[in-house]
Amino acid sequence: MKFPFIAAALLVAAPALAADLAPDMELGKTEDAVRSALTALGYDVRKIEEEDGEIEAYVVKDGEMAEVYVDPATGKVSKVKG
Amino acid sequence: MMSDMPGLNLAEGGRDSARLVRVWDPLVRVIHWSVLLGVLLNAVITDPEGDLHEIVGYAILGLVVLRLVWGFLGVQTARFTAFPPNPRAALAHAGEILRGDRSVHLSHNPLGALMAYNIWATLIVICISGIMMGTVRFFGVEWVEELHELAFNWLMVSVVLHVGGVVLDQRRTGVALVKAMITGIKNIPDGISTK
Repeated sequence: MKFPFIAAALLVAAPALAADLAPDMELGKTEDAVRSALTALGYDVRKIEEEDGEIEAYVVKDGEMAEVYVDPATGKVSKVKG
Repeated sequence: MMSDMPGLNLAEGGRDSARLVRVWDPLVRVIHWSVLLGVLLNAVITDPEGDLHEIVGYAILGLVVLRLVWGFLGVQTARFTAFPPNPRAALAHAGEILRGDRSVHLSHNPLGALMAYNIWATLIVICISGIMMGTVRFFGVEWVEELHELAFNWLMVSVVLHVGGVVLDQRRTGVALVKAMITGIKNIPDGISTK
């Protein structure tokens, strides 16, 4: 019967990082702009590269890892993979 | 005709009638083909950033570690003592091949032994660098990803050389090596001595 608690805990815990990186949030249209925006938000930006036409940033904050995808046309976050 | 005792057949090295010798135990065979399946899955099918890629990677690592443990505790032909890593012996073996020697090693021949150690080491480098990529410390760190990819490329080169070596050795000795890794039994043709 522990499972629902674990599942609930995961549901609560998982979006912590994604919460301050919601889709549509504007970070910038270039790799440099995205890097400074993420750094200003307190993220450790490990790597930024272009993937499938998007800017992909590998970030770490509070021991959590995420890949942030930004659409260079709009400068907005399109996806966050935790 | 068939013996379950590789040791006995080793003692009979030099006998020259055609015979069947059980050389690979089930664990060695299952690990060999499972690792191949895992490598194929992660090379071709799984999403490199997905959970399945990680699960398959951990399974491969577990199989390699099990094989290494088996190298100490396993049956005769599976043990490292049956095929010690020995570059000098490998060179000598290459010389023997060039001189037309057709004798058969019941375990790995010295060249094949080096390839086995190379593939295990490469798989371990791939698995460990892969695990590192998922840790906070090494997440997004360039050299770790490059090591993972470099080791994978080296694995592909090694697999080509491995298959090439198997094909050449099958031609040289007449022993069906692929079949032996499936059935566990080497057919030693007429007039071929064993080591």
